[in-house]
Amino acid sequence: MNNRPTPSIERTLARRTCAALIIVGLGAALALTVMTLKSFERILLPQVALKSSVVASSVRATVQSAIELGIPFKSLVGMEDFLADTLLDNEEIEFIQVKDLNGNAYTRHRDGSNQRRANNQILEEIPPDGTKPGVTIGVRASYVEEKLQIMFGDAAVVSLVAITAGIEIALFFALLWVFRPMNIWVAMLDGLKSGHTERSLAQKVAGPFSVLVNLTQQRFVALSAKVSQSKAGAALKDWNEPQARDVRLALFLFVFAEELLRSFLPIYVKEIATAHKVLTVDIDIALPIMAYMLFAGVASFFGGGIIQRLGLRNAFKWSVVISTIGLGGLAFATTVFEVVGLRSLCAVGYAVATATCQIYITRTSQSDTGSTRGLTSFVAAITAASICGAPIGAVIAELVGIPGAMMAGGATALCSWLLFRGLTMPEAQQHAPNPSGAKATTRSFSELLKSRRIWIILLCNIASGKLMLSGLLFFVTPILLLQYRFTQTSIGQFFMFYYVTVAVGNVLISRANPSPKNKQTLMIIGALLTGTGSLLMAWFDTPLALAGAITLMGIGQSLVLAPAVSVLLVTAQTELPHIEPAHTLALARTFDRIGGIIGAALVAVLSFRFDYQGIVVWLGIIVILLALGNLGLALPGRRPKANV
Amino acid sequence: MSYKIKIISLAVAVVFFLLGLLSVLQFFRFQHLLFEVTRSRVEVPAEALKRDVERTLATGLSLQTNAQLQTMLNQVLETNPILFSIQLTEGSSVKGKVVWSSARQPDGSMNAPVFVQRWPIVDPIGATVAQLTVVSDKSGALGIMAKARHEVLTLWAGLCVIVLVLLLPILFWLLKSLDIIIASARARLLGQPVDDKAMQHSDVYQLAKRIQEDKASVQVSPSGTSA
Repeated sequence: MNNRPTPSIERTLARRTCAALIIVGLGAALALTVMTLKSFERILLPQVALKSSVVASSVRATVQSAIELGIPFKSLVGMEDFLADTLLDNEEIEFIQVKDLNGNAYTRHRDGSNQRRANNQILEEIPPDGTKPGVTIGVRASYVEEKLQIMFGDAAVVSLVAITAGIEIALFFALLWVFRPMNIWVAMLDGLKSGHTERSLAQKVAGPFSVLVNLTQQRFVALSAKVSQSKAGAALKDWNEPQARDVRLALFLFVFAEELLRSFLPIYVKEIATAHKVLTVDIDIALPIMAYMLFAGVASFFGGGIIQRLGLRNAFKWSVVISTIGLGGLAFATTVFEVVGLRSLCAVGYAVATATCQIYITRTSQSDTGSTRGLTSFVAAITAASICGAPIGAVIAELVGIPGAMMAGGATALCSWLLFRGLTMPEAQQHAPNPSGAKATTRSFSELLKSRRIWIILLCNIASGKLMLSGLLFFVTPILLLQYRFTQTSIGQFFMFYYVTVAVGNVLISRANPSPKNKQTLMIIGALLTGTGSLLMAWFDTPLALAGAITLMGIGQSLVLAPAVSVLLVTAQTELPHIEPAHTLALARTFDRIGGIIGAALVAVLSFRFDYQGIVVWLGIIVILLALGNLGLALPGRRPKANV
Repeated sequence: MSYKIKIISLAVAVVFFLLGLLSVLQFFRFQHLLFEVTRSRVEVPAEALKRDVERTLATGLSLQTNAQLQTMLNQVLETNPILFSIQLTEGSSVKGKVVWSSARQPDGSMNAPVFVQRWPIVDPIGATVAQLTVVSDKSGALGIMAKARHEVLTLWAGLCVIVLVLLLPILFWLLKSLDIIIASARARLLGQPVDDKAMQHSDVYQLAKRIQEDKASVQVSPSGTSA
């Protein structure tokens, strides 16, 4: 018997609304793709035919010049090779036939045969005229179709990006119109029940549930008058309790602003470095990436203190100001030093802003479950921003140019402040002041680093993963794709191979919830997979191989990211039980940044000896060698150290 | 009513955003493809010319003294109406001294948008001795782009209208049940009669009901004033 409880009307309503939106939205997207492709095909076919007629004229002129030298048509030497070369240069042509008035002909098909077959071909024909030979060219009717087919893939990618961004926007309005009024209403009802009615309503409530809130509020009118008399001057607590999800869209927009640059920053720096070289072009490209990782690491380390001193609102405000200057300023940068300086600013802004959001979420949660849910919301917002950032940034760059896209990034960061400033700030939890905080962290780091197993986890899994990410994805990928003659928009979409794989992998891993032993196995497999994909580039110098390398890196990293932190915490807990988990996590973050710095530096160093294809292979080999270091985990670890 | 319009506007705006993003992206992909095809039309005679120039170098003739090159350039320009000008410049840099060149008579093409493509001329020992620069007409491709843009825009607008026509009634119908939930909860708070059975699966209504059952219901008159 099925005892599943009947879902509430509200839940059913939300599900049906989502289903209607997704069906209509995706249906319209599919229809738009099919119709635009048909339209583009109709426009492109005559252009391809026009090109084929130019090829026919060129072939005719070449053969004609040979005949004019006195060589009889039948005795032309090297015609097979000439036609084969022409076919090689023009991928849309299926066959070429050159013939004279006497019926002598040279024919070459793409498959190497000399037989002309009647299949789906568009013929371009120049008939023979006197001594001038005739040329017939067969164009593959499917050529344009093949070229346009890739747009179907684009449509899928764009739909995913738009749905992800749409979900973030919809969540914001759902919060504004549904969740917040409901929370306020429930708080009011609880207040009525318990008799605690001394609260205020700072902001006007919008949305369908405002009717219920306003109705309940009327009950408090008389009471609040009494309160204002009895507690004159006292600040009343707001009915609206800050929630972790309140900060989600502000965080999404801030990270999105930074991610907008992902697909074109190395290309932009390369252009600047080519014009005003500091060291070598590749080192110049690596410098801003390394500076970013370094400053982000340093700012993360001191971020907590800065936020405590400034307060959440001011910390976020100044992060936005700094990031806006950094992002907008990049549009006007003319030297590598300027780029390095501005990227360092961006890194500080990013580190402090994300730490502010993290603290906001932590302060709003009242239980472990609430904290986990809040941090899930934090990770989801960052993942969504990473998925959307690169492809949308690439479209903006194509539309208004790279400097314009950077300014758009700055403007988006500013928008995140507009959302953040409207939030009710959660109260800070009172902690006993800890004057020796930095000293304690340093001591913990030093103790943790004495453990071989912790070293292995940090170096062979956490740092090596970031090394690969920074070297392969953030540095080499955009430049390599530009070499493959990819457009800016396609480069942006390429990043989704990583972000989507990691997002899906993370969901699967959290659902599977593996045991601690399995987590270690997954971590080791993941570390190996992170580098394995790059070996594909040793055999195939193609975009497909690069896509394979990035996807395998994504799979590998989804197996490493969460399990490695878990294994690290368990190991630290077992070997050094007196060390605070916060210090262990801080050390993991430090190694993560170090990995990022080394990744960019490695690419720069390897560029002295190898081309980008070789660099990708060597990065993979280094990461695999580091992953093999995990064998050291098989050896027994240290016994727990007593707390002194 | 106003909240319904807000929710429907938001939903429709999200779908319009999806279609807009898709249209822009498809358009850029098409532009790239069209420019590639147009440029490859220029590549055919230009590469044939490059081969011919390199062949003359192989025979020992120098670039500067071979007057035959001017005829070759003129001939290529004559047979390819898409080309505006062809230049052979000395050295491996783009800004070398012009050795031979051929251009159409100045007409409306002076300010026309152009594609500029370059090929290095390599001598028999593999050194780049000159650059072949071909300037071709881009206005044809831009005209086609304008046509494609118009078609994409029309398609986008048409689909937006269809989406609006489809979503409007569906969302209005769905949001009607939200009206019922809120009206029932409000009635319950005001102590008015409500069909309890129909609302048994509504979380909002159940909240209002629980409060009333706890005898802490809001004691306000239907007109909205405190009782």
